Amino acid sequence: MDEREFEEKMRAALRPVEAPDGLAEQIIRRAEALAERTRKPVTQQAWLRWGALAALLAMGSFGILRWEEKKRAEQIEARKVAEQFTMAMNITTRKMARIQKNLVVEVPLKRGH
Amino acid sequence: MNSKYLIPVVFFSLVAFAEQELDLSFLKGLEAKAKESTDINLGPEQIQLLMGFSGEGSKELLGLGKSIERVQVKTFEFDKDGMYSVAEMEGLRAKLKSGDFVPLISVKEKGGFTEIVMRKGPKGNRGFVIVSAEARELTVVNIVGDLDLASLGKLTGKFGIPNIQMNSGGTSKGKGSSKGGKEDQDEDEK
Amino acid sequence: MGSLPSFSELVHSHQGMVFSITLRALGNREVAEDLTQEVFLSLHQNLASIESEDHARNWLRRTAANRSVDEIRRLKYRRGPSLDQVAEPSVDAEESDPMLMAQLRESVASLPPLARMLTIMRFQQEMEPREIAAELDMPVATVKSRLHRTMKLLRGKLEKRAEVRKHR
Repeated sequence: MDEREFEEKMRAALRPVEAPDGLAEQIIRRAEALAERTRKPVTQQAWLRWGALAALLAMGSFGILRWEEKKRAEQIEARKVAEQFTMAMNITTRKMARIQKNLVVEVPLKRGH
Repeated sequence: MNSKYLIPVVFFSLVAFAEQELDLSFLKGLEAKAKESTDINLGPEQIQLLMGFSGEGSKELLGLGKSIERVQVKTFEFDKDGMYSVAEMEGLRAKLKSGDFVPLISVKEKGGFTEIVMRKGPKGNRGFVIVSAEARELTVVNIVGDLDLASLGKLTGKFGIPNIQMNSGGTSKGKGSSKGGKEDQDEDEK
Repeated sequence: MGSLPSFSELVHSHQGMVFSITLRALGNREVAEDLTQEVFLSLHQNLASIESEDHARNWLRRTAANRSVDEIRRLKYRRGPSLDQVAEPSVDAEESDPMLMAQLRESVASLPPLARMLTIMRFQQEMEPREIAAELDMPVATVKSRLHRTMKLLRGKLEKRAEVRKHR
């Protein structure tokens, strides 16, 4: 099989597939449920909206919005750090386990080398 | 304190703190040669972010984050032997035999070596460094903080980390008490 | 650039793409479905920053790729049945050479996470190396050399299996 033929076979093997039936509806339902949890009743929301707008105008800045965005961004960053941290701990403990399992060790343990 | 000594003391403190991060830039060229590589370098500011993390497992992470100040992990997995030179690691090995580092395990094998050293501080252990150079895998781990190897044992069972018995210090012969096994096998190319 | 369709329209338009990436990366329908949902929910939370349909498609593709790589690595370090043990049969009766297709998919599924994703981006999403490099924030040279090595490896595996079959 030459390179071109091989690449054609790869394309065929990895070709896109249809999403399962009902997946889109499930996703949309979940997204709406998530949004609903944070949504307040319409009238209360309307009052809050006008009140918040008035406060913003009074303050003369969008500091609060930026603060919320900043908080969201921090959570996203914290999650990334958490994932990296977890991976680092995984790698470390696995490496230790392997070293412990496989080694026949002579430890000089001379301090102040 | 006499002010003329203040600047050198401050400078030394800054250098000492910076020294705790290992300079692993000499390994950069291996990324292109490796089939798989990992590069993690979390400093004090990023680990501080863990304090604000409110997702899954955040309590355990918080606990760990309190005692760890820096985590550096660099791993490389290669397709075949001889993709890197063990001699290139000699600079790092020499560094780990000096200063605040106390050797714990030092083994030379055919085509590689393993070093585990503790970092000593004024008040006790300040973390450890693992360097494992094998024919097709190179790993460097640098953890700075108020912990030793035994502290890692407290991580077991969390974040999907298997139960591993850590012995800090002393010798070990043959197989350890690890429950490793299947997890320890490489799951890469067969 | 175009205007931005609704979230619902984006889901219907691109669910196939996201599901395909995650399925070929993870080799398990259930896991791929879960990850697909997570990717779209993430899009929903970030909808305010999406500027157009093209932007949405690229965002989804990049997120699906990165999340798949993270998931493969995460599952690699966990106990319990590995993806290999619960992988779905991947033979499609309509394919002209179903055995070969299954072997290729199995070989791709055995690749390390990044190599696997590069292969999917190249041969499923039909992306050029420079596009892959931009999407995954990698140097172009690294993408090209890894793809080249991966293809050599996969062809070698295929040829070896063909030899084994011949001698049976």
